[in-house]
Amino acid sequence: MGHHSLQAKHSFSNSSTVSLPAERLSHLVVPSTLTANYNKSAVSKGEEEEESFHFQQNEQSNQIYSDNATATVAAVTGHLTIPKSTSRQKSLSSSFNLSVIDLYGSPNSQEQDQEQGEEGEGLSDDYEEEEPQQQQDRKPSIAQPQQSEPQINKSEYDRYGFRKQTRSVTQRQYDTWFQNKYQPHAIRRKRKWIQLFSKAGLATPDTEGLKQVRFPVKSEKLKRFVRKGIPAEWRGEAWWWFAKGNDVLQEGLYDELVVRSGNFKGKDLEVIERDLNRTFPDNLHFKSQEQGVEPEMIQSLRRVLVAFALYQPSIGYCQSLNFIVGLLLLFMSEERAFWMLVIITGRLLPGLHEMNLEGVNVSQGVLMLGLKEYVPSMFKKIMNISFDQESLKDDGENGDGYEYLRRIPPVMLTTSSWFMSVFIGSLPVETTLRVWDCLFYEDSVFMLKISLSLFKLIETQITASASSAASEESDIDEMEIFSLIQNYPKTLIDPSTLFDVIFTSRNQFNGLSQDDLVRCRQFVAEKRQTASKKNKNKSKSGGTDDLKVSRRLLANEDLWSDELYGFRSKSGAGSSIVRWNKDLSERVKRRMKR
Amino acid sequence: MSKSNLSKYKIVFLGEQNVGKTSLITRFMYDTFDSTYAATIGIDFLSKTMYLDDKTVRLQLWDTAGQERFRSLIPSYIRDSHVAVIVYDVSSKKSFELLDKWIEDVKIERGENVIICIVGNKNDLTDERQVSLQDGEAKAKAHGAKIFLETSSKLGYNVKSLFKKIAKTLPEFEAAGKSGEEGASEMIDINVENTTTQDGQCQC
Ligand SMILES: Nc1nc2c(ncn2[C@@H]2O[C@H](COP(=O)(O)OP(=O)(O)O)[C@@H](O)[C@H]2O)c(=O)[nH]1
Ligand SMILES: [Mg+2]
Repeated sequence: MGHHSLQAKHSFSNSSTVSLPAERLSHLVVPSTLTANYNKSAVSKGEEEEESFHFQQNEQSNQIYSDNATATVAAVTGHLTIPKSTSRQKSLSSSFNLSVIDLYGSPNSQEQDQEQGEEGEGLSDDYEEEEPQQQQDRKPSIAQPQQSEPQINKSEYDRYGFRKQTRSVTQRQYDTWFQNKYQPHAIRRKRKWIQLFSKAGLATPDTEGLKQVRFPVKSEKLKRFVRKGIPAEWRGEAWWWFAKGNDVLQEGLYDELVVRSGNFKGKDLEVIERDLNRTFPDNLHFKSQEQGVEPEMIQSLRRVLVAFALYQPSIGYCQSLNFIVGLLLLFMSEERAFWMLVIITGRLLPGLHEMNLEGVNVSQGVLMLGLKEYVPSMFKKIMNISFDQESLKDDGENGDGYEYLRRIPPVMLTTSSWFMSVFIGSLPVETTLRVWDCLFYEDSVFMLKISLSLFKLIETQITASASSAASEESDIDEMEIFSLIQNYPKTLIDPSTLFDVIFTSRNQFNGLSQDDLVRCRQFVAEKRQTASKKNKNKSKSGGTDDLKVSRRLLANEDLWSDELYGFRSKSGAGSSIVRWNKDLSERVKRRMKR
Repeated sequence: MSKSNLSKYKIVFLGEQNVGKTSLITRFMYDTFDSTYAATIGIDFLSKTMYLDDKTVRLQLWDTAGQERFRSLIPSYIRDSHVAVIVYDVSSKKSFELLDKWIEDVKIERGENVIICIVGNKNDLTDERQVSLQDGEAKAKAHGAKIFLETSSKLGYNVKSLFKKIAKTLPEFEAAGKSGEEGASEMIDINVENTTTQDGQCQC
């Protein structure tokens, strides 16, 4: 019974007509009447539910948004529960009430009852929240759905439209995990979120007619909530809120850019065009369902990418932005996806997509330093396979032992894509989304933390394979390390495998702060700058651009000495990294005063 | 066989975005073709053990992103590659013209210590062809490429043959691969290979 309250109305009401509130649509050119009919038939125990969903457009909409709301997906998914709406509907509704995402299916009551005993079972998923379980007393602000059988998504596609099966995960593995573990987890978490909202006196994003969504103020508790996952259908709102989308949003600019992109003729256009269909070929929403009919999502993707290229010429279009925008569009409107892209490429991942990709080198340098400090065995392995004796001698030239920051080891090209695509494609979808939840809440230092966590797991894998291979203990070669780094993360369908690492207090890097990261970036940028200068003297091409970006990343050029890159403690010894970092900040402040 | 005794060779795949690098590698590795692969970001790495006659080598295949700006990241992994496979799309004149830049990149990094291999992919697109076989051959000769082939990863045409030829240039298989003297004549006769090689002796 308690679980009823968890169901968002739109998922399970027998039939509903949703009229989209006009004020939410003001930023888009939309048809004046647009209704959604959502029909569900033949719901009876033990039977599959048949659903269909379509939009009726009573008037032609205007130009650029003319092809709103075609529910091509439903036709293909047949009885599947998946897409309740298309991207356009999603955009129009700004993620209210309609969702691309199928939520949880309907849990049965047994699952609900079990739940009482599950607290504290696993670190990231289940560790305790203080609230008592009193569903009955609470009146969450969403409507009561009708009782129905547990919905099991047996289709090939997950709730976002991605094919469940990948090269690394079978559909069976996925289904088993999702039904037995993740779906109950998601339901449980959503209930806690509802309680959290109600305690804070806030209406949840599910509330009908809500004009503006607000999330509770940041706190350790909220951070824990986010780390355990934001309810999928709230993600759009939550990401926007936590990333402070409203701070960057310039009302109307996106629409203007879309109009202007009509006569944009950059060379990026061609590159964008070629990548559109190679973004999520395995996602229903990005796949043409009918010969010659371009999916809504592809059109949205094109508009956002072109508008961004126009808006941000220092980046233009960089491969990987297609993935980022593609994922955003599953959760929010085009306009918001656009501004989120501005935030991601500017604030969260600075320089990573710029013309010369210098930010990539910096991010990988930071990761190397992080490994050196927190996963030293992996650092050593990478150094061993990347540099032979001779190149280590080269190091003498700069004489500071940081050659690996100037010449990023080739293995780190694999991890580059972790950053550039924000883990899309590197981690399974649900795990990626959990990383995104935290990234927007915790800022870019979370990218480092999660990368280090991955290396921790990879380290364990290496140890395991080494001990099973008996004699050849230290004989893990470059190829094996490469394939582990590249392929192992793809197998992590259960986010808790990864999040447990970061939740473990033993891992000191959990205490790293955004300031630490910023300092470390600056340190790496400076080290790289020395190299660029040298290269420039040797008149090697390409050095100048690097220099510019490095300069930009480097706020206080003279400040940094070797000991100051941010997270170098006199290691081991169980010293509190947090304390140590505070210490460091003090030292830095003192130096800055001088 | 102990894996540490196995000779390993790095093969990098270069060329413009969308010419079919990922498709070629996937065809070779899994013998499948999808009409769409997600774009490659940074690099992708795959390895495959290849048997030829009674010898075995392990090939490391490095698949790269084609967008121009990614080139700044590439030198570090061209550095110790044995073979550079530079791919163009026979239905795109532009991808063919840009070959020179890629070859230059390789030569800057590796000098003559690398086997250059030029591949014109998508040769199933007969109606859209913009680059003739002769032009491809001429370019290969001009750059001293040891191998030139047209392939279709879609149809699986010449893909195994390509990898077999690559293998034959490696020290382990050199004896088998030698087809005369040095230089241009080492370019294996494509026409002959074209008609026969779908399956060859390569047991991969
Ligand atoms: N007709 C045809 N299309 C191909 C062939 N190889 C690749 N493609 C298509 O070309 C596009 C780009 O291929 P991809 O392997 O991703 O190119 P990459 O960017 O070089 O890795 C995809 O849509 C492929 O389906 C081929 O041999 N014939
Ligand atoms: Mg590719």
